[in-house]
Amino acid sequence: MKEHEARDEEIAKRVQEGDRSSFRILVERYEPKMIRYAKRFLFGNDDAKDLVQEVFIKAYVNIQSFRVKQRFSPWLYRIAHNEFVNALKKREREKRNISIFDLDILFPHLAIAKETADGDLHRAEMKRLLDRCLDTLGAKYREPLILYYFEEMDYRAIADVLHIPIATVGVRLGRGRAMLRKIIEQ
Amino acid sequence: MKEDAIEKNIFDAIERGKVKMRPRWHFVVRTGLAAAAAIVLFLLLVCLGSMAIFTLHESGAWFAYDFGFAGWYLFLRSLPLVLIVLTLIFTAAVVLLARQYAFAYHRPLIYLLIVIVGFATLINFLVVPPAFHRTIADYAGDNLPFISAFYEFEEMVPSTVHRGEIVAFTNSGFVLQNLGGTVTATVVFATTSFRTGDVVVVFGDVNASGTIYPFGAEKIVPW
Repeated sequence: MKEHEARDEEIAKRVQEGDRSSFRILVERYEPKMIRYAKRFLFGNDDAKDLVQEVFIKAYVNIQSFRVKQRFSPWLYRIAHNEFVNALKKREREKRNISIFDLDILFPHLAIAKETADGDLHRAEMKRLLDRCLDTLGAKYREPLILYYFEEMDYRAIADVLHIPIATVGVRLGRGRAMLRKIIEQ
Repeated sequence: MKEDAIEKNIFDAIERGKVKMRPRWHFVVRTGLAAAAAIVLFLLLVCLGSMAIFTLHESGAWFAYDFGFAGWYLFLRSLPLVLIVLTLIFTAAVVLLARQYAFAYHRPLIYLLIVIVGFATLINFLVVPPAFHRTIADYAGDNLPFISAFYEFEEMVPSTVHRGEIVAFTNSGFVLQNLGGTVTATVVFATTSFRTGDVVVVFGDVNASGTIYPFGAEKIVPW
């Protein structure tokens, strides 16, 4: 199999077995995605590239904790999420948007019942709106929207990155979309 | 920093040995310690939860809720708050440890809480024998003052809860002697269901002459 056709998980396994050069393939594959994710999630943060570098270093240091039966992408994005959230915590403005505990993790089904999100907006239209209005959303809703629309992850993968229930991913996406619609209407 | 410099910096750091891969055993040990901590914390919360119920039962306050609003008020005032708070802290710690894993964080937190509390309750009823706390309470006495403090039932409950043994009957009720055998009180309470030697709990104030006009009394069946 050619190197560029190998699955991420197979490459990660080779790195675990001592083939350090294979890690370069993972960096090349994910560097643009990580920078895009960082820039959108940490808009206006000049340290985005330093943080992405730190993400890859942490991934290399901890790669033995990766289980090859898992998907590599959510594992790496989880490291990035932790790194970026720590960076956000240093910003005064964002501190109040990052809470340790949220009610929608405890009772996501109740939250869904109250949901008023509009699911009719098309993906391309949503991406365009998100690019325009990302800075108006709090980190709690901004991040699942970025992962869903720009990183094209499914609910389960987003749940793995954020360590939240799958139902809560739906709740946050719905609320984020509803907030965007409200902003546009204003 | 230029975008393509990221890769170079990473591999320079790896080549120079500034960045080292953690060995697999590091994660195996860490996972093992986390699992052991979760098990220990879970067992502690089972123990503390059953201890809270045991102290309520032994003090007699457990039966107070049967006697209307005053009974409920007394029951709530008698709750062993330290034990309950410790149980909640241990429950939160078990939840935090469990939520590192997909089986736990993929589902709503309420499900995890229900499973932990349900499992703890089940173990409590199936595995922890009622004599367990009595044995510890008896042993703790002077040997383990920190632990014995949790078993001093009479000091935990309000002064309107009186637990003791019926030593005699009078025309209007019975004479109650506390379990230490040091205090006796006359209880004005018409009942046909109690017998001499029964351990009972009586709820009400003691007046200056040592008489209690209780708003409720119940026989305690030992566990």
